[in-house]
Formats: sequence, C-alpha cells, structure tokens
Amino acid sequence: MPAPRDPDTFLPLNTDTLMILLAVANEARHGYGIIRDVEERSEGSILLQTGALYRNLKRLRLDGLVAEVQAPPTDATDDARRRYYTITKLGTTVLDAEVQRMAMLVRAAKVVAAGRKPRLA
Amino acid sequence: VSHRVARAFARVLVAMYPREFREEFGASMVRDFCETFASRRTAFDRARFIAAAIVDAVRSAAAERAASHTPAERGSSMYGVTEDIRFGARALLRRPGFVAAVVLTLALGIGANTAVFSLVDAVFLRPVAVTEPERVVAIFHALSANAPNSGLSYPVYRAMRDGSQTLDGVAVAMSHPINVAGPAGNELLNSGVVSGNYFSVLGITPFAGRLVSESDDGAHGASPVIVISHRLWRRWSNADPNMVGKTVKIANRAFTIVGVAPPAFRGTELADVADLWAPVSMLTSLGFGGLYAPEMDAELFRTTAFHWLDAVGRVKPGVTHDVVAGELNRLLKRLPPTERRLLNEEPAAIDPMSVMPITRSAALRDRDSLVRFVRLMFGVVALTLLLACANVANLLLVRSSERAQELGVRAALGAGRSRIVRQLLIESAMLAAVGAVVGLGVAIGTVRTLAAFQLPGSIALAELDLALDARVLMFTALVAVGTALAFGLLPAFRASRFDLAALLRNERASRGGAAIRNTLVAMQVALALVLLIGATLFTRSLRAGLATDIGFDARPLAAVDVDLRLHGYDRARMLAYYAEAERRLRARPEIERVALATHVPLSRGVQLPFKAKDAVTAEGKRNIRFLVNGVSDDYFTAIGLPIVQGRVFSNEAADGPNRVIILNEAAAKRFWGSASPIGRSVNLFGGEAFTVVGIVPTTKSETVTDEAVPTAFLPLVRQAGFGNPASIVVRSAAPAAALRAAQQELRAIDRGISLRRPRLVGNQIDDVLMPQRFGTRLFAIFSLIALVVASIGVHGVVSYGVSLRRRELGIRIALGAQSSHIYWTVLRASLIAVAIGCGVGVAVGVVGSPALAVFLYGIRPLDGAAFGIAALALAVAAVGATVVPARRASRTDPVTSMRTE
Repeated sequence: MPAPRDPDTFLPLNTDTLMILLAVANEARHGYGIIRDVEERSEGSILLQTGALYRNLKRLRLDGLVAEVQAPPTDATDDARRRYYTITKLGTTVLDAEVQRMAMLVRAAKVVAAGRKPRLA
Repeated sequence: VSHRVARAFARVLVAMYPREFREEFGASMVRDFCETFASRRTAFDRARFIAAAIVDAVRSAAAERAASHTPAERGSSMYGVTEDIRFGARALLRRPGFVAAVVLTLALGIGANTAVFSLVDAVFLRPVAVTEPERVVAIFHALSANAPNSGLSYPVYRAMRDGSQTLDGVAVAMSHPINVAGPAGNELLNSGVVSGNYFSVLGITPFAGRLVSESDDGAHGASPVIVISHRLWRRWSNADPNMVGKTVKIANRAFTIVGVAPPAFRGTELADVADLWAPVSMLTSLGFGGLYAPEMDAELFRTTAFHWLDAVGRVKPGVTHDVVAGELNRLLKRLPPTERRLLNEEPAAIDPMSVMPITRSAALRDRDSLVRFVRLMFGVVALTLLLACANVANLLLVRSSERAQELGVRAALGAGRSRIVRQLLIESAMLAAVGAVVGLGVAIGTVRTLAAFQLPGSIALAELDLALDARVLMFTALVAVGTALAFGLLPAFRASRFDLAALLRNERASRGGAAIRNTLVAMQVALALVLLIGATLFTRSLRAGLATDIGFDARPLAAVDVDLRLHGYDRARMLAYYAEAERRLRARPEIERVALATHVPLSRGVQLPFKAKDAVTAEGKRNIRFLVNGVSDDYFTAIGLPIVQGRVFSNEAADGPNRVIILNEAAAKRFWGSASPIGRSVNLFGGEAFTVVGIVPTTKSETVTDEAVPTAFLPLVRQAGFGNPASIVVRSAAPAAALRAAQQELRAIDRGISLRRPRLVGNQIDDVLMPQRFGTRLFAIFSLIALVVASIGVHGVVSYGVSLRRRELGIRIALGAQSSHIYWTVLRASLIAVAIGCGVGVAVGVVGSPALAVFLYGIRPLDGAAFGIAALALAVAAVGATVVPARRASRTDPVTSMRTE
C-alpha cells in the first residue's frame, strides 16, 4: 500500500462522493443501502445511479477512504454474496475535514447575508 | 413481468462497461438497479429513473473505458467513445438537410411501432389497474362443457370465498346499465354491482372518501351507497372534493356518494368500463327491472341456476393456478349434487371450476379477434419501419461514399477499420436516438388519430389508458437500437473498406456499390408494394361492404332506443308508452311511418332456440337459434319489407291463446325446406307454440357480412314481457329531421326516460364496417408514407448513380450519343430494380394476403384488381421518381462535367 495521502489533498469532495461517505460513516451498507440512504438524506433530491455509485466506490477504495467488509450478522435474510462497504480511518478524517471546510463556508456566507443591508428603492 | 424486463435492461447497461469493472461490480449493479427500479412507484418516476440510468451508464461506461486503457492501447480499443460522439455530432450538424430527412423517416417508422406497442401494452400487458395483477385471477364455473367460462352463482361464490385456502379472498361483480338522476340530469351509466370485499381483494385504495366495503354486505337494501369513477367525478362536479357525501337518485331512492375510485381503476374488463359501483346487497333496489325484480331477491342469492356473477380471486404467493383450480373443484364437490350439475346433463367431461389470469380474461370474449387485429397492425408498422431502414441505409451509403476522402484520411493517419466502423455506427445510433425521440411525438399523434376507432369487442381506443409508460419507453429504446444496427451496419462496413491509394489519387468512389444500392431500392419498392396491396384490398373490401344489398333501403330510416325497465315501468305502462309514442309520432308531418321493434337491423340482436315438430330438414330435428325481434304492426311497411306469403300482424292480442309468429325465408327454409310454412307451428325453447302466419324476405340483420340469419318476428305486445329495450323507428325522406321530431315527442311523453343511441340507420353501415374502415385507414396512412419514402429513395439513388457517371456520360455525349439514348440508359438501370422490387412485392403479397382473409368482405384476398391497381400506382410513382434525374443526365453538358472532375 502506498504511503497515506494528506487528507486535504482529497478536498473538496464532489456531492456524490460526500453523500456516499456519509452513508457508510456509521454503518456498513451494501450498494442499494447506500442509494436509499442518499435518497433519504437528500430528501429525495439525489438518486444515485449505479454507474456513478460504483465508479465512486472503486476510486474511494483505491484511495483507502472506504473498505469492503463482511456482511454484518444482522443481515441474516439477505444474500451473503452482497458486498458491504464501510468508511476507513482515513475516510473519517477526510469526511471530518470536508465537513469542517463546509461549515466554515456556511459561516462565511452567513456573515455576508447578515451584513447585507436591505436596499432602499 | 416488468421486473424481468428491468433486469434484462440493467444487464444491457452493465454490458457497456469494460470487462474488469463489469466482473467486479456488474452483479451488484444489476441488483441495485432492479431494487431502485422496484422502489419507484409511478410510471412517471420509473420512466425518469430509466432515462437517468441510460445517461449515467453512457457517461460512466465511457469514463471507465477511457480510464482503463494505457495510452498504447487507445488506438485500437474502445477508448474515445465520447470523442466519437462529439465528432459525430459535428459531422451530422454540417448536413442538416440530410439529418432532417433521416430523422423524419426513422421517426415515422419508430413512432408507428411505439404507438402500436402502447396499444399492446394497454390491452394485453396491463389491461387492469389492480395491485399485483399477476396474482389476480378470474374464476369461472362452467355452465356446460361448451361454456366453460361462465360466471358464478351466489352460493358457489360463497362456498369458494369461505372455503379457499389458496386464495387471499374471492370477490364478485356484475355489470349492468343503470339509470341515474345525478348532477347531469337523467342519464344511463354503466354500473358495477360488487361484493363488499371487491376493492380490498383487488387492492384498490380510494382516491377520495371510501370504497364499497364489507360493512355494505349487510341486509338487502340497507346500504344505499355508491362509489363513482374518477372520470364520472370529474364530469359531474368538475373535480369538486365536496362531491363525497352528496346524493343521487337511482330508481327513486337516494344513494350517497361515499367515495371516488382512483383514476387508473377501470374494473377488470376492457369494454363497458363502469362509471359507478354499488354493493351487491342493493341489487334489487337499483331498478334493473324485470331481471332483478325485488320479488326475485331471495331466489337470486339462493339459487345455483343463475351464473350471474363475475368472480375474481387473489392467489396466495407461490401457489400455481392448477393448485387453485384443483382446490376450487374440491370445494364445489362439497356442495349438494343438485347444486353443481352442469346444464344439459353432460357427464363430467370437464372440471367445472377454472381460473385464468386477470390480464387474459380482461378481453376474453374477443381475444382472438383482438390478437388478429393487433398482429395486423404490427405487421403494417413493422413493414413501414423496415422500409424506413432500407431508405436510411441507402442515404447513408450515398453519404459515406461522399465521405470517402475524409474517412480515407483518418485511415491514412492510423485509424483502424474497427475504429471507423465504430465512428459510423455511433453516428447511426445518434440518428436513431433522435429519430426515437421525435418518434414518441409521432406515436402520440398516431394514437390520437386512431382514437376515433374501436377495437374488436367494442373496446374504444379513446377509453384505453395509452400511456407512454416505462415498458413502452423501453420498447422504443430497443427498437431504436435494432433500427440503428439494421440501417447502420451495412453502410458502416462498406464505407470502411476502401482503396486508400485510389482515394489519395483523388478519384471518386468506384461504381462497386451500385448492386447494393439497387438491392435496397428493390427492397423499398417491394415493401411499399406490399403495403399498397393491403391498402387496395381493404379499400375494395370497404367499397364492397358499402355497396352490399342489405335487403332493404336503410337511408330513410332513423331510430332511437328506450329501456323502460330501467325506469321502473311495468308491462302495462310500457305498452301504454309505446301506444302513445306511435300516436304522437304519426301526427308529426316530418315522419312518414312509425314502428317499434326490439331489434333494428345492423345492430346486435338476441338469439333464442326454436324447434319444429314437423321439421323436414335434417338440422331441423334439433333446436335452431333464431334472431328474435318483437315488432309493432307497422314494422314491415316502415322498414320497407314486403310480405312474401301470408299476412302481417294486426292487433294481435297481448295474451290470448292464439300465438302468431312471422319468419323470414331463411328461418322457414331451415325447418321445412321449400315446403310452405304458413299454418305450421314452432316452439320457443321447445315449449311455447307459435303459429306461422307470414313470411318476409331475408335481410342482413347484424352486419353486412351476415349470411342469411334466420329471424323470427313476434308481436311487440308479447315481446314486451321479455323486457328488452325497444327501438322506435321512423321513416322519412328527411330522416335527420324526423329523428329530431321523434326525440321531441318522446321527451314530451316522459322527460325522465333516457333516449339512447339516436341514429340514422343508414350510418350504421359505417359502424358495422368498422374493421374494414380501420384497416383501410391504417393501410392508407402507412402505404402513403411508404410510397413517398420509396419514391424519395428511388430518386436519391438514381440521382446519385447519375452523379457518379457524370464524366462517362459527358464523354459519350461529346462523342455524339443521342440524349434519348442516354436517357434510356439511366432509366433502364433503375427500372430493372423497380421491376424486381415489384415482382418480389407481388410474390410477398400473394403469400401474405390470405392472412387478411378474415378482415376482408366481398372480395377474395388474391384479388387481381387490387394487386393490379397497387402495382400500377407504385410503378407510376417509381418511374416518376426516375424520370427527373434521367432527364438531367441526358442533358449533361460535356464541358462542365469534364471540368468538375
């Protein structure tokens, strides 16, 4: 495995990537699980397509942000061949850094919005 | 079914990715795709999902392929699809005229196929809008071995409902026209009388309010509620949400509208779609009259003799239909033997109970003719699409030889043959894709044009839910891909095979492609001719139908129907109404004659079995079914039928022992051959005897294709007891005015009676010729398109041939060739192709036309005149298309032609 990259070099994350990382941040999920989580989390506005999903997963795994894991034992009903993905330590670091970066952006935008005076005609 | 389609579709998408990606993620992708597809609930969401999935697959697969190759591999691999698409788009945009011609041709072909498929989708694939239709079955209880698909009686329904372990519920319904006094005044609607569990078994949830439920299954007459269809709700109240809770009057009783059914729900049959539903416990309160009179109430629900209920059941998951049928037959055997015997005492030749998927039973009665009809339509549009492909292939061939230099340069710079083929195929795919999108517009237009027609079985096209749902869109996508391959493959391979050295010497393409081009022209001519033959056959059949001698003159006749039973009239009031109607109408100056009848020719009639004890013919020993018509005394003079023997009716007693009957010649002949029938007697249902007092000529009775239908006429005063609806027939030199006058007078007698189907009898010939008219229109549209497309094709190819031979022709003219000689040289080459095409077309026509026999009337499928007319029309068009370029060739200016080379 190559030397771990500096987390900041991954930033900024594009929307799909960010949403996928968020979906696997707390529990391991399979592909359709991720699609569903992203759809719910985005209140229905993002429907991940399989191509985009697996290209992202492939790259995230290559970059070491996501790892493939055994199916969790809770998933007794499901087919054992399903592939589950979860976030890695590096992934968590990158996600945190991205969320902080976005929080900073939101703060900055709020300052601008608050400081803007209503224009008088 | 749609899930299997989704899976297949996902596999196609996955196939676009490079192998290693496919091997790693393919299975997961197919699975996730299917689950996401299944989680989209509406057709719109599914269609949107499919569209997004296609875009995603093209983009992701292209990117993966680009990424998966090292630079060294890129020359020969699938690398650069995106670049090819961009390049192709630029190349196409440089030739807008060419693109427009191709797109339009393809759009017509693809659009027509999409339109017909949307019909197939609506009629065969999703005819009923219920939850999980694949689990719903129609249940039949055979009346006899000859009538296996009969309905259930109430006790049998109860036994099945309570006893079945393989079904999650059995429900019943019966449909019947009903008179309702609602927001739009008195009107006749289609009603469904349903058991309380009907909607829950079908899995229907209300659009507003509630549906008929188990609580409505209580005491007879105790639940005066109705559920109205979404369509009726919109028509009655302009979609007013407060409609629920209002009341309407049915048979002088107030019924509360408790809910509105969802828009998609149309019952479980394609024809006679219900406008409203009422609980079966209200059956005898709905004013259906004689058949379901209150005094029969108890009997109807107790007897097993009447198989009056259409039953549906929901099969438990994983249970096969055979197992269900086996169980239902066992349940039937538990009933007392008297309750389960078959009619006519047949030995138990069949198992009486059977089930059938609801998607099949939805158009059961007319399934065969529907299938035939849809096949015919598919044949026509498939031929059109094939013709479009041949035409576009030719255009592409011509174009690719014009592009030979550009492609040659690419080859010289190192592009492999596969790369060039791919480039050309991508351009074809783009053309097909745009053609498919425009084709969807064409499909919508086609469906609208056809909306005025009816399918066999009185299925009005306008009433079908012809949505462009996910399945239809997938079909269109598949057709587009197939089309792109069909028209693109040949030109692509030909274009990629060239003599580099010759090209770089700046020589124009050789004449080697002429054979292929001429073959394609011949093919177009042949296809167009096949369609033209169909069109002429149908047109001639329609003319023959219109020219048929129906046995009387229908033009001065008009008629309107009343169904007094539905308004609670008893027999005495009916007769009084008829007498008053005759009296009032006779007084009108617009009306020459008035008559009443339970059947007016050129509409469906009722047939009943008759027997004659002294029959002399062999078949007369058994029952013979006669069409039965109850007529007033003036009927024969009003229609214009002379009495051949005996007398007409005159003031026959309504009851009395002296029962008389008039037969038509066909009926008399069936029993007694040429012997005189007057004074003999016939028995209805083998019982009640009637004395023959008169004989009238045989006329066409239901349609123009009838062959001598035996008919029995009874005095209307007797027939009124049967409670059939009656037609009031008027005769006049101005039948339209007479019809208006008749309606006025009838309203004056009783404003509450709905006057049904006011019509000119002469126009009914058009209605009964519906299949011929539909076929004529269908073939006319597509053969016209075919003729135009084929002519353009011929013109294009001949022009191109001339342009290739420009130098040769110039030299020949310079050396003194007569221009007429040049003219014929050019003409001859293409005429050979046209002649071969005609020959093939006629041959295909001869082989294929017998398949049309069932639709044709009055002519044989191998109708010489039809073949001749079609071939002549095509030959004229094709030669016309050749003359212009040939003349241009003969006037070639040698100097100009030499200079341009």
